[in-house]
Amino acid sequence: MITTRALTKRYGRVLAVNRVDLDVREGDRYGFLGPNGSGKTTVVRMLLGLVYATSGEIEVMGRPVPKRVAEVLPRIGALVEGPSCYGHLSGRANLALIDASGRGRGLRSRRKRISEALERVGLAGVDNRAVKKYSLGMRQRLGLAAALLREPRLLVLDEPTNGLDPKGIREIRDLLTELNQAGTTVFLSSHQLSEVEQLCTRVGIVDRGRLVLQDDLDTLRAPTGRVMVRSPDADRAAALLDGHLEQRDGDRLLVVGADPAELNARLVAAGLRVSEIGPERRSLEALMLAVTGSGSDRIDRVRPAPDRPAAAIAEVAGAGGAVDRGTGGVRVAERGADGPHAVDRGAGGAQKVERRSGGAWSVEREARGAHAVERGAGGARSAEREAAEAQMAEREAAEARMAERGAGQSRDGRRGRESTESGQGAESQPGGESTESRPGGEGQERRQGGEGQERRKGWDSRERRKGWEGGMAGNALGFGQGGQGDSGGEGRGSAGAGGEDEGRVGAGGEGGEKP
Amino acid sequence: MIRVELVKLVRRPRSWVSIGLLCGLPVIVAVFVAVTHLVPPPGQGPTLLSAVLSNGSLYPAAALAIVLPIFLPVAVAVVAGDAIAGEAGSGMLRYLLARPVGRTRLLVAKLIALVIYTLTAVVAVAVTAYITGKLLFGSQPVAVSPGGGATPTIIAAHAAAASLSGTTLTPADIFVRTVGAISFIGVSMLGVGAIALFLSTLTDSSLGAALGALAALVTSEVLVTLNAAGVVNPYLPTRYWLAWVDFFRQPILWRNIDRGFAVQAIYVVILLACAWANFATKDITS
Repeated sequence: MITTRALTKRYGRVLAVNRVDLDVREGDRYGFLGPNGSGKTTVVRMLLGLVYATSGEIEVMGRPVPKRVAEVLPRIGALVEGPSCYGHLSGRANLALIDASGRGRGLRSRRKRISEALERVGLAGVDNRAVKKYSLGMRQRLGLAAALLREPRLLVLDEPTNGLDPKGIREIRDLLTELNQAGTTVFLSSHQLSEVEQLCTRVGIVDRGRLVLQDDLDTLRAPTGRVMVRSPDADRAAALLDGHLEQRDGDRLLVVGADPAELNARLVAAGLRVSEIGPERRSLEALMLAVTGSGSDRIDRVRPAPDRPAAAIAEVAGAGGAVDRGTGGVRVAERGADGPHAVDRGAGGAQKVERRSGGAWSVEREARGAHAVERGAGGARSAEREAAEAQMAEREAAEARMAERGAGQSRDGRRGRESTESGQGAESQPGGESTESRPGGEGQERRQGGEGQERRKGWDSRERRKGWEGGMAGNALGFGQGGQGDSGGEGRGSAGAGGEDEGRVGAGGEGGEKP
Repeated sequence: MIRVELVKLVRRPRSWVSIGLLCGLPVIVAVFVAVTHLVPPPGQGPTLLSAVLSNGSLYPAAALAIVLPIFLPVAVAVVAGDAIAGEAGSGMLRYLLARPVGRTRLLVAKLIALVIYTLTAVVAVAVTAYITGKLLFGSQPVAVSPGGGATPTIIAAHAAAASLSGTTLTPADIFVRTVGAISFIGVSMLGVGAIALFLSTLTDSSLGAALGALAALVTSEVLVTLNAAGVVNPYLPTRYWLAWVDFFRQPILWRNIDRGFAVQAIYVVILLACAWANFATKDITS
């Protein structure tokens, strides 16, 4: 239905959309997620031929866009960045004007279609008052009605439930599900996780202009292979499960490589009380937090450079903790704490990764095997667990490769800085640590092929974009590398940028970005 | 699409308010003149006004002279400036283009709506002024000056003073000449509209586009009167604006009228081409 290849949009120096490969299939309810300012709307606009791509290809319903967009637009219903209307006209008059604007079916069926569309969105009884007197929710419904006027095969909706109350959101969700079952493909762009989680069958997540993840929601939310147990006798349970216990948080235990039923039987047999037990599932929220940074609407205060290391440690620890709570992954916390040191060490940390790279590679190969077994065996839990492990190894391999590149190219200022920075970022980013919270990622990247390659690009652009956004600069953390790489600095390089994101990746001078 | 644009224009209160104001101003002037019989001495005040006391059927021309310098350009610039920028500002542009309406088609529809608005405004002014003139000043055969009057104000003086010695114009003559004047003014206003329309494709603020066009006109007006800017004088958009007065000479003095048409045509063509080139390749981010 929608296919994009290496879709890129650059506004001046800002890379708004960076090599996005969307794949929306016919009949999907596709959730396009991302933080504010991550490029969702720009992608939507490019799909509709409103904004022209800098490079890359778009195909919608088999037609190249924007070249032949006029052929497909009549079959697309769109709601982009909120509804718009002529305020001095009534809702019906607005729909009539919109309908009359384009070619196609004429006056005769118009009145009927308008009534039907209004009925669908729950505005059937609307009177003739001017739209400027409508409430936000009514306008939103009117915008949806406009999108539905021509029985579209594809609905492209940007935040369709904005301004609606819970009941209205439910109605719209039901409406979209109903339309989808009747054969309409729904492409829903949103930053509201619950909306996507409840409606969509497939998810694409963008962060800073890059598509960081695209997969079926079921795959993404598949069990992690761990079992969550809540028990008042947590201490004894922990002792009993020694070796299998991955994490303990009060009375909450995470157990590796066990079947919930068997585990339950075992615990009960040992005379332990179990208040809650079940396979641990990833939530979309945890996933989202793991693969994206904060939105571009967050702009933190720039702090003086000397405060950086301490602040960064606190921030990273804090961030790690946050993700930890979300995913229940102990590893997050550990590695999160490890992060700042890695950042501090800078190039040293990167070298460490490099040394490990050989091992990581082989693990990665094993991982593929493990994954295959998992698929074949219909999801044997241990295999799944291994797959998760393996994916992490894969990730490490990618990091290692990045680090290698960094070490190799540090003479070339810009690239060198970027890649060392990427290496660090990978070490210290909670996103990086929570690799294990993305079991579905594995499958997805398998499809894309060359996971390491993909990830590396991802990190690169991510860090680069951050540099632009935050006026981020060589601070105490990044000075070593920043100084090395900074050949054409503009002097902005000495201003440290605040914020946990910038803190985590804060390396290198802004100046280094510039040729 | 053209029909839709016209519907939008017609259903928009602003269109009617602006035309009402345009028609109202000459009526107010006419009432004052008719009551006091005081007209500006030749050489001051609106062109032709001194001539209307003797003949009301010249009042449409005088009325156009009254609204031409500021009022009419403002109205045209507002409507033209609103064309694309207004849609962008209200957020409707993206929905129109996604409807889909081709960008070129949309621009052409806007242009046609603008032309129709301009002509409606000018004709409305002329018609109300004609009625006002007939009612307030009556009609006698008009005497106009022999051709070759150097400036419009001189001809006005001639028309007033030489009503006995000048050539007499029949009502049919006056009608034809008024139509000529209306079309000339219409084309001049299209020039204004083209500036505003081009600016309208550049910005998302209709006010900005309208004010930008007016700024261009003011600049042009200043340069026209400036001897030092004599080099560019013949190419300024407002240079020949008043040439339509030559329609009321006997015989009609075509030189400036022709040049006026030519200059406006060049401006219109170039600016519309720019507007199209810009709009067709623009990222719609509004």
